[in-house]
Amino acid sequence: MEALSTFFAMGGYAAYVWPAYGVAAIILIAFTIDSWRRVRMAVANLRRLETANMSVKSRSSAPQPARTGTPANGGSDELAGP
Amino acid sequence: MHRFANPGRFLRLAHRLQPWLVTATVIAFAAGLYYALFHSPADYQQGETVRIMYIHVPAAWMALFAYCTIAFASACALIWRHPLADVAAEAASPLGAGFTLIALVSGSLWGKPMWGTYWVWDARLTSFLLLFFLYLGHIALSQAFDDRQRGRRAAAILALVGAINVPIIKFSVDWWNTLHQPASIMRMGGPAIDPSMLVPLLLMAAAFQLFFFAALIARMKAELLSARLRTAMFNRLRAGTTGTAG
Repeated sequence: MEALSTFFAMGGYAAYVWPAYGVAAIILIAFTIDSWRRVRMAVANLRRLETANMSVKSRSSAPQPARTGTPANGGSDELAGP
Repeated sequence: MHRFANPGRFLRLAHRLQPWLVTATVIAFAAGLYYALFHSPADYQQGETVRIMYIHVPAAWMALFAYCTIAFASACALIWRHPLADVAAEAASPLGAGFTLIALVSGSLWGKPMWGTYWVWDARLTSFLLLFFLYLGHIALSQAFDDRQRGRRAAAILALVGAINVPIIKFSVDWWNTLHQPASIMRMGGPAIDPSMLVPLLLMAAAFQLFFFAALIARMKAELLSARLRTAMFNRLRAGTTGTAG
């Protein structure tokens, strides 16, 4: 307990050391979440479009009464690149 | 360089590289923080505030590194029209701004107990603040036009003009009187710092560097996938208007 409070006191400079680490942590964590979300949203949007395209194609090639579910490959070839 | 010009190739490479980069970043931060906070001595003059260095210096290095990345990418975009260069510059810009902000805030928090002031308008601090505004300008400019290509061109020109600021920042501590200490790592005659402090500093620098690459690749990947989405949407719209009724 003693050692812990000594550690957090930072030799009397706690008010400067911890905010410096805190600001860095907040900014880096915010970038991590933001970058991860951008990738996830881009992938999800592409998947959705791919699914929609598939159903349009299947409807126009062979007349079907309605959308009967998503295509089997889930649009993964769109992500794999050319 | 042009081997990676193909966005599809880049995406595949990024996909394979990303897990390793993320793992390495986490390990480097864990080791770096352990050394920085627990396993390094207090400075005989600065006491425990020396631990701010392990945040401040890597962030400042990365702020400059990210700017050099943007300037290099902008040159590639303007001269060779490299298809990934614009995307790289746009993805690096917010990250660089973030590193600059960390360096400014942590430096300010280090300055108060050591210099007695949060801020002085000397050459190093002022040129670093200018770097922050260059980043903000770059971000704003690349998004300011409806035509993305025009915005990116304008941003690339700003980035190249602003690159003059990089050597000014680097040498400001030698050219002008300042409270800021001169370079103690990247200098002639080797680092002037004890290994017990050099190890945490280099570990944290590696962590920041790895973080930059991991985040940069993720953001580039997101932008390339979004571009692919925009193209697909455009093609779909065109097919919808010119094709048969559907």
